[in-house]
Amino acid sequence: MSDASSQANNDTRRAAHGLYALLSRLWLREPDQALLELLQHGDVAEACQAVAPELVAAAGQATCDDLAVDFCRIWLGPTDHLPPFQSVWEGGQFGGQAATSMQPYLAMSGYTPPLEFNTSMLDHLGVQLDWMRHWLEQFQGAQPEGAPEDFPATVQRAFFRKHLSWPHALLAQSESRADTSFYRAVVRLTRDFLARESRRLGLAEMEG
Amino acid sequence: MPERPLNRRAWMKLGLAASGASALGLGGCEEESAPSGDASAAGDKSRANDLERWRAMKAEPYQVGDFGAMPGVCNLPGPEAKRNWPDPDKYRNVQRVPGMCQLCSTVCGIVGYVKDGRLIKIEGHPNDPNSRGHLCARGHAGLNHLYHPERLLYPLKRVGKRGEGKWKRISWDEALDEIAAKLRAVRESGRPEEFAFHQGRQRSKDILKRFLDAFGTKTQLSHRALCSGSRRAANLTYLWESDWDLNDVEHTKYILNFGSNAFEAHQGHVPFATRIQNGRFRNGAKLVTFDVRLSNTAGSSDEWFAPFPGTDGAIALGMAHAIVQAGRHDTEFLQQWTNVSIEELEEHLEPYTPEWAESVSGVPAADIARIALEFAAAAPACTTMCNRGSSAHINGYYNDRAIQLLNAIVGSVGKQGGWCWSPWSGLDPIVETPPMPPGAKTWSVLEDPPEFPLANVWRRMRVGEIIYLYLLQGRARLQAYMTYNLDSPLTWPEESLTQQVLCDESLIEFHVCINCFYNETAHYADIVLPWATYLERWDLDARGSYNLRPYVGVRKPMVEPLGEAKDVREFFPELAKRIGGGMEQWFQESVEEYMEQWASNVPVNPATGKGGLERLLEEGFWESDRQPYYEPYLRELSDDELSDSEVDPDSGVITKDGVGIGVMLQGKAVCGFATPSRKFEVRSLFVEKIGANADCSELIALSGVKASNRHANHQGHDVEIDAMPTWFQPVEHQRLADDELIMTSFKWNVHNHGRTMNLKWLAEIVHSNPAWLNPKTASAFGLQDGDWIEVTSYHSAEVEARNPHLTHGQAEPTSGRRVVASMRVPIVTMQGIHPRVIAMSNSCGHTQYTSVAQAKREAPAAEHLAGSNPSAYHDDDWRRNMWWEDPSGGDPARWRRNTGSGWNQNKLMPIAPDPVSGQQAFHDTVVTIKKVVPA
Ligand code: SF4
Repeated sequence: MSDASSQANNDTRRAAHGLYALLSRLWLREPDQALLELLQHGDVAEACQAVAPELVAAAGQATCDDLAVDFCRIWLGPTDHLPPFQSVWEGGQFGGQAATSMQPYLAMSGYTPPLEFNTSMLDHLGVQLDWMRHWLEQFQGAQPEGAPEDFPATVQRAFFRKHLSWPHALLAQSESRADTSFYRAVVRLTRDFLARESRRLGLAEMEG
Repeated sequence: MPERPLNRRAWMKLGLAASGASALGLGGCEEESAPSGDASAAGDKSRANDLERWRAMKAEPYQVGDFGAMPGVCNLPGPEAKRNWPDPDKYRNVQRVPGMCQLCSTVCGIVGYVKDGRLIKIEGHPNDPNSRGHLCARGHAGLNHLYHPERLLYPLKRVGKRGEGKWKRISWDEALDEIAAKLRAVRESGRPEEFAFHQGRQRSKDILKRFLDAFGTKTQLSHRALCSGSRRAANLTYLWESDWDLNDVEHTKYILNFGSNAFEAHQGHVPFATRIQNGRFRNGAKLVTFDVRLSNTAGSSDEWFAPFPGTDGAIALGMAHAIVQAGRHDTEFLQQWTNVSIEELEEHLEPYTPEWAESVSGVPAADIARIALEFAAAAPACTTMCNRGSSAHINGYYNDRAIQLLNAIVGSVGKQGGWCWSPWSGLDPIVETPPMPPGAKTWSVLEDPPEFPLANVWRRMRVGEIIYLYLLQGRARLQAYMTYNLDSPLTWPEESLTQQVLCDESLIEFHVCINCFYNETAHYADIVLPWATYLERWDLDARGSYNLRPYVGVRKPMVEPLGEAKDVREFFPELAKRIGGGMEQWFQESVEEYMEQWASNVPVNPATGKGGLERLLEEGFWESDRQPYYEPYLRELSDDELSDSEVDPDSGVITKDGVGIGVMLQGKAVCGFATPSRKFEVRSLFVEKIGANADCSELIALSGVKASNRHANHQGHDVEIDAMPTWFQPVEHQRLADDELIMTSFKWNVHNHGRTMNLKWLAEIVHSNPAWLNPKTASAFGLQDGDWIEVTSYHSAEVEARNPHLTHGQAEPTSGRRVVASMRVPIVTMQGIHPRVIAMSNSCGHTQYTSVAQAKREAPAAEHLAGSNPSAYHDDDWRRNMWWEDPSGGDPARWRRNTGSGWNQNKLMPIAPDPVSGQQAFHDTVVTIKKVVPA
């Protein structure tokens, strides 16, 4: 591989890593002031302006408290909410097959999820995005000795297919349920990114 | 939802910028760094770590993709489930964990099958001596409870107005700090009773009492008066020793059932129902049921009679009359073991002829007499049984006293196959809680309303249904209110009054709700704490066993609590610490240390060498090897017991230091009954005196039972209580007009009152509650099956006459009746109901408590993401397959039968306490109905 193409691959991977990091942060927890600052000023804000200008605008207008309320209403409840867990959307309850299926991926990668996501709740969209961040960080594109060809990417593809290609209905309904333009933008950004990732990993072609 | 066309460069730029942004923090818990862009030393180190991990877990490194078949959690029929069924591997390598169900108060033993940290099945625990391995449908649906997608997972704080439904997540730290600050202020205000703890079903008595006593408030409110107050008060009047009759139905020959729907709704549900069937099918027992409605119990009986509501006591007195008149009473028992002579009894029963009973109940006198004599012929292996059907009436206390009297007349009291009880209503006393704080000494009108004399003298049964009205009337105020597993707007009478008070911050300043789900009570809270389910927490538990001997079972976490849910055992110590002021000293041990200490007296099993908690965790239960509690009154007193005792020459009562310990029987000293006379007290001087606020210290001492005089604040609230079992009919029933009906309530076998409609397996079976009407009645009102009616309900004139302070609501100008509320419901017509009765089940009509409970459906998703496998993504139930959703919007013309989530009957029910015991009368409400003509 030429230096240029290796650098390009590294950049692609780093970019994916950054987007997984950003999105998992947005899905796992309510924003704090530091996150809102990040989305309004500096490199991230500038780059975000091109991809999701409404997110940048919303970050400038919203207060952490308003966003915490909207985050709660859309995904935590306590009522009429949309639990962002794969098992819920596939089997109608927490702790279904999707949660169990996360376990080997965690074990093989040494990933430790945030504390509140115990065994039955590993299939939260935020945890799944975060696992991808972690995986990209772990392998950084290199091929471990003795591993099958293209091992890190193969795992990514398998994981994505199993654990990141489910949330379409969640995203569609979250967008219409959100009160704030901030969370409408978060949902759109997630949807667009997952569609790009699906293509980057060659899954869209497989499907198509 | 099409993806927006954006160029790759823009995405790359955002990703690269975000990749190095420290403000994002890390999702996972480990220390990590962003990829450097060059797979150098750091990357190699990290990969080496991974290889080590793989080796340590003995897994195949670099395994990719499908990690083998995953165990399924209750996959319902669908393309995938069918293909894989039956799954031979499903229970391979499961861990079987003992526990106790808590979807009702019967607390049946369960075994949880846990695989890969997930509970995949619940079945009955064969070692539970009471339930013997049986479960009802609700028990199995515990999986829905645990893994419900709308469970509360995080502490929430209200951000809008109370009741507006606007929340944000807060941390446990923030929540506990805020609660502790408020409770500390209440404690320091010098009015600790203004902190009320209000429980629904609770099975963690020790920790609640510990917390409240350590805090110093006695304002612990319950729903007992909405459940069983009259039956308990009637039993206590006769026995003192126990408030709970444990009918020995398995060994009986005859069961006389007054209104109990034991096959669906009894507190002893599964253990009791299975024993009734054993009695019938193994022992040839006859079951006769009196119930205004053909319940599933009535339908399974040998004979069913539909009496006029609330006349159970009259029928029982008519039977007693018939038995005594026919000379079929048990002379020996009556003479030796009751405190009335046969002549006195005969004289007392004289007016209560079967014909008189027929005149009020409508049940033919000949049947009353026939059944009475059949019952007597089966003695002593015969027993009455009753429950809310007879006791949830304004005259419930007298109904139940009259019913229990029959057992004394035929001498089946305490006999094998007869009407039994035991002193062990909970855990075997062998297990002792670690040292408890001294009891709180406060008094509150909410906990001890002076108008209801028997509510608190033996046991603290309280009068739950009056509390919101008393708050509204300004008779008490609450600085802090903590609710726990409670759904009062749904289960309390007068829903709108309950909502009004819960919403009013001047009446309830601060409300913390502890629950597994966001329900109608949580909706009016300021802070909601996510409670761990009974499958995720610790307890020792037991209830009065039909084996008539004590036992102990254990509840332990089968799986980790979901999200940030916690049990009170876990966060009360932390809260106590933050409140301070000495509270913390009562919470020293960890939960497991506490459990170990608590269970330490469970004896060692010689076969395994294990005792204490270790034994319970292995075997699930331990049952004492005592003899069943048959004829306990015959037990002879030991020399030790008799030393320094005295015998009263007139009554034969034996006392020691002024405390009754027994009675002389034919020259022998036996323990007798734990009453002041040491007899089964047909005539109770105590209730007569305590009603009149007289000092009963001497009687209490003679009984040897822990009971109390009424509080000084009861002075001026004298209530006449008849010393003998008698009966009265509420005035509004006596003069029931032709256009009036009596509304009663009932419960289905798959639900409890307020806590199961969220469980999809159960909600699919029963989710709605049209009103039942007899076809004759329907036709008299010009109605047909499926029509809609408007029901208007009225306050009880009897309640207002006896307790004028409860009078509220608008009076109708013409009739003078006070209206409670009106509600529109559809009807079903069926023969199995008394023509003067309209019945609606409870459990329905939720306005919160998850989308399942409200039958709210989500539209199916039409699209899927590229790369996904839509055939695998079938949502079985949660929202998208809810076939019973009602899209009519309440329009009778568009409503289809068996759709929707039903109606809350408690909109219509007035606050109506029995004037003696305080039990809520759920079966007496006078209503009028009129047809709703669809637009
Ligand atoms: S009767 Fe049913 S709901 Fe009640 S404890 Fe037993 S299994 Fe659970």
